[in-house]
Amino acid sequence: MAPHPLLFTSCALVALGVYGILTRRNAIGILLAIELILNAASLNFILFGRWVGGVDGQAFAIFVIALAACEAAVGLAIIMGLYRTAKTVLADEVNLLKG
Amino acid sequence: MILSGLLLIPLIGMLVVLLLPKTATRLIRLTATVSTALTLGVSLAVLRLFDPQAAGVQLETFIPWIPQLNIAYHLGVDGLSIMMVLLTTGLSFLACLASWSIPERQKEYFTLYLLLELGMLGTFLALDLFLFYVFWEIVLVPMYFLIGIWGGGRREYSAFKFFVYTLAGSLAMLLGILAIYVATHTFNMTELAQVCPTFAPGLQHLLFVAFFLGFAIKVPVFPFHTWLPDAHVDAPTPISVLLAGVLLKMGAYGFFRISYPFFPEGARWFAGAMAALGMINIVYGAFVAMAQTDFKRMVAYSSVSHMGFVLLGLSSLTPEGFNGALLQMFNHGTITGAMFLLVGVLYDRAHTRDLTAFGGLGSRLPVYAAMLTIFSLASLGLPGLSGFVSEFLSFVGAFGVQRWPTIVSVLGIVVTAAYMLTAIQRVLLGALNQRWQALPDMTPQELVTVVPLLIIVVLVGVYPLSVLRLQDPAILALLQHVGMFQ
Amino acid sequence: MLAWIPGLPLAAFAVLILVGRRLGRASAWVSVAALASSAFLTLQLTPHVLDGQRLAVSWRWLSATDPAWFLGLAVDRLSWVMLVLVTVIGTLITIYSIGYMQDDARFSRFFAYLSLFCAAMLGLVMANHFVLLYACWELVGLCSYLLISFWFEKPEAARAGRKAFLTTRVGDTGLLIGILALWVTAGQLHLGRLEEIRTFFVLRDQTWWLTIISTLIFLGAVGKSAQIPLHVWLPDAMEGPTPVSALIHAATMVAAGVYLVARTLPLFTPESLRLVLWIGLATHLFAGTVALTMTDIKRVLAYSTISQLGLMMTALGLGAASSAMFHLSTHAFFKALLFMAAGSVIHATHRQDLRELGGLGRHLPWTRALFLIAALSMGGFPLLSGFWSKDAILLSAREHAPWLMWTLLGGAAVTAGYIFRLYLRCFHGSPVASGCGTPHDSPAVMILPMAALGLGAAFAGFAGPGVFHVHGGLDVPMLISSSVALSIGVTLAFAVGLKRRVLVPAVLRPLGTKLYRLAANKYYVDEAYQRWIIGPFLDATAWLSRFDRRIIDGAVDAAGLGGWRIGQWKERFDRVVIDGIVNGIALVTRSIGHVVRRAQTGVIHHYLFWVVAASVMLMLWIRAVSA
Repeated sequence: MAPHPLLFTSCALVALGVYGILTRRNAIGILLAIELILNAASLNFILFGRWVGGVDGQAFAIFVIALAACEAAVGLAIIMGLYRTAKTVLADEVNLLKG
Repeated sequence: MILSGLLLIPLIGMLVVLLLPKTATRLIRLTATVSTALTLGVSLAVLRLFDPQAAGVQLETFIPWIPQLNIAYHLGVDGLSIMMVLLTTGLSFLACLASWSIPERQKEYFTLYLLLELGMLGTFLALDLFLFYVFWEIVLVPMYFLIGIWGGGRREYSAFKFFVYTLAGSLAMLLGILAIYVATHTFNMTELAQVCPTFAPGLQHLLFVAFFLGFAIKVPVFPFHTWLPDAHVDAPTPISVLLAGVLLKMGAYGFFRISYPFFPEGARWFAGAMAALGMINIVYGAFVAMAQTDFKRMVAYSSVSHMGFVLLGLSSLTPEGFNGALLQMFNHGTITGAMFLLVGVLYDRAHTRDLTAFGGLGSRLPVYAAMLTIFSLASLGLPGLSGFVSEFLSFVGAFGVQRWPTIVSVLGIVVTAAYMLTAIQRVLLGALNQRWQALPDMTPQELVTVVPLLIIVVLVGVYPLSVLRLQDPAILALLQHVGMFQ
Repeated sequence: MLAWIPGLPLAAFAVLILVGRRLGRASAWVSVAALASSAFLTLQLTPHVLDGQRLAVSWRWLSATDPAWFLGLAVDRLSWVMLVLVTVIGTLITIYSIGYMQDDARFSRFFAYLSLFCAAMLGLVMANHFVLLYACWELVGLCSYLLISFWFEKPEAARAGRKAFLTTRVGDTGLLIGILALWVTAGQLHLGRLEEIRTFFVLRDQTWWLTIISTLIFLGAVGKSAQIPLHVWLPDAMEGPTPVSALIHAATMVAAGVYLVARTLPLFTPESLRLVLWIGLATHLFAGTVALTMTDIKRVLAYSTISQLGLMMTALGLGAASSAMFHLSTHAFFKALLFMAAGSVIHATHRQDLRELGGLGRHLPWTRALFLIAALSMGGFPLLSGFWSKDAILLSAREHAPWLMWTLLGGAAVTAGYIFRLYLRCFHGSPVASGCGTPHDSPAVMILPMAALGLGAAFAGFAGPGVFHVHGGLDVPMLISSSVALSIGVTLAFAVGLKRRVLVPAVLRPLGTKLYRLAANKYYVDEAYQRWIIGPFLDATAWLSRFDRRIIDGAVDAAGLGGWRIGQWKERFDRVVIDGIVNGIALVTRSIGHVVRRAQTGVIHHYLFWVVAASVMLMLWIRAVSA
């Protein structure tokens, strides 16, 4: 079976997201990159759902969108807190988790 | 059951004292005094119930305690312990009266005091080896605090020395008790007295020595005596009285109750050493007492000397010697108890015990002088007073068996007379030291603590049968028992 | 009834010690009444005793011994004599004391002690058992101690009391050991059965036991009767009030030793009697020569007492118990009188040094007369009491060995010498100026008892044959020789003692001075004891005390310190080894952690890199596996 062309799109989105995570210094940028990966995952769910049949894939996609919204809210709140304590949103300048 | 009463009253008194508020000192003292008085009353009731003709244990109480190990709450009195019980209750009462002048922390003091009385009485009443050991150790704890907190001088050092030294002795005894238990699986003393004498001689010797160590430190026997002067000197007066009057007797009582009936073979084997140690105690104690300038220390060393008569009498294994030894325990308790009370009276007034600092008090304090003279004379063995009877009986018993130690001991009584008279001379006679111009004579409260002892000392001295008839049957039975296992 | 004899003075003692202070002056009469009643009771016994009866009463005292001890009182001829002496002389001296002690602060206490002494002394002579005898023996020693140091504010009196008690106690231990030995060997301590005990030993051929026991008993007598070598306490005992010296240290207590030997004479063997004889003789001569040189009135009399007691011991050594007891009785009268007269002198002049006295005869006629009677009696003036008793002893000595008689006659001359030296220098010669006005004779309460004793001192000798069964009648050669001895003594006393003539030829003078100095210093016995016995004894006590503190207690402390050290070492071991292991493990973990923690940079990119890298690796691995 030939891969659906949209799979390449989702692959590109993941790669873009990973690249963004690894290169972005701004925490908000990282958050956006994570959104990209999540969206790639949603796209995959829909594509494979269509191939398998049924609505499970689409349901998961909606689930992931809801989750991404929550995650964005929590992530932004953490960044706000981070900014208040560390006075920066640049992820590589913060090492509060250092052991 | 009446014997349990003897233990319960101090216990209840102790709990009541614990419940009272700290500031109610008067009530605390009163509670303690009433408890000791009641205990004394009960002990007199025991004396009334006691049948002097019977040799065996009377008024027994037997309640299983830890049945798996054959441990029981087993109490009883016989001729060996009855006088010790009376001595304990009597001296506890008198010393409690003398304790009214304790200036601080009365609540703790009287709590510990009553615990001490409980422990001492328990030791003399217990007929279970385990129970005996428990009471024996209970005594140590309140004594440690009573010396360490309310004492004077190097009190922590003395209390610590007393505690550790005695504990070290008890450990030897504990080993002996464990060995006995392993061999017999019982702690019942009456049974053990029948079983232990059948042990092999070697084992008997070993066990005798183990128990001897425990008891010898308490008596104290030379060379284990050095805790005694320190503890006596630093303890407060009432505690010195109990220390000399009762605690030393616990060791000697142990010989009568455990060492001799359990290990007759060991006793015979050790008799020569016992006589020699008795002789050393008598003579050595007297010599060292002669050189003391601290009044209390001198009396303490006189205790060492006088306890030697107990050892000498014990070594004889004769009725006279045993009677003398047991009577000497009682007499030493009354005489030396009174001596410590009198030294305390002097110390309360003059705040010194240095013999050389006094002089001529006889004209200033005639009542005190009379008391001190009489008890000193009793201590040096003047006929007509109780000390003479027991010393003489010890000599009579020991002379036939241990001739040379006895002769040397007889010479020791000259030294006893020398230091006693020297002390009297330094304190009471001579020209009045102007420093003591304003010293008041004994108060009625102080007299109350001493006069009962005076009456006992004279009574026993003039009519020794009053005490001897109580102990004689038990002693004859004990000697018969010892002689049976030849 | 017998128990009342010592019981009454004992009751008087109890009354006086309890309420004496309230009784005040009346307390003396309590004492006198008790003693007089005892005397009356004693005299009532006379017919029974002279019939040879033995009265006894006893109580069970101890049952611990086998057989039980019954202590009791008994009166036979020997103890009856002592009873009479103690009660009669005791009563007289107690009356005398009322005058002598009148100004004393502890008036009633004195009579309490005196009563206790009489009770104990009566108990001593009536005891039928060695234990009761020993008990009373110690009690009279106690009373002696209390009375010698009666004026205890004087340090000398306090010291003298202690010295007396301790010195006699040395002898008493001998008596005690003797009693113990007797009990252990013969199993019998009843004083009425001494003959049985003797037979017991003789039958078993163990008379050496008797020698040992009797020597030990004699040691007790040596202490109490102030014989060599335990005589040193008696002269010092003169620090006590003079009535005490008269009653205790002249008439009764010091004679208890003689009584004891006389009582237990059946136990004495020839060997031990020889010891008694030699000790007695040595004491007699030794103390007589010292008495010649003393300047204190009471000390002269004290040495005279020692000397006379020596004479009695000599008689006992000869086995002549009745002569000894006879001399004891007459001596009690004249010596008590001498002391009371001396007391009268001291009372009148407040002086007792011969060098400060003289010419008192005019002022104290009664005292002088009575003193003279007593002195003559003691010197052995014919028909006075001392003459009879001394002759009885001299006769026994003559039977034994002539040399002994001559020695004793020499002793008699010495006796006469010192007593007349005392008499002449006190009552004759030139009066020495004294600061306290003209001395007056003592009041009647003192003179009357003295007069009564004077009768005894003069005529007691006539009781000899009746009571003591000694040889009656006059032995003319003895009468002459003892009179010659007396006159020699008196003459020398007059010439040397009073007129201060020097009779010693010039050649012998240095030797004489040396001898005089020796005697005047009491042969340096006190100094020797101080140096060779008391000093080393005190050194020994000090040494032992140091030994106790340093070595014995030091060992205990060292053991404690050792325990402490062990604890410290153990603690160090804990720290280094046990803790080391535990800490080591922790250290290793921590260092691993240190390494690992490098990874925890805290930089989120590193973490994400690892996530991605791990995911890639995982995918490659799955691929490889599935392929």
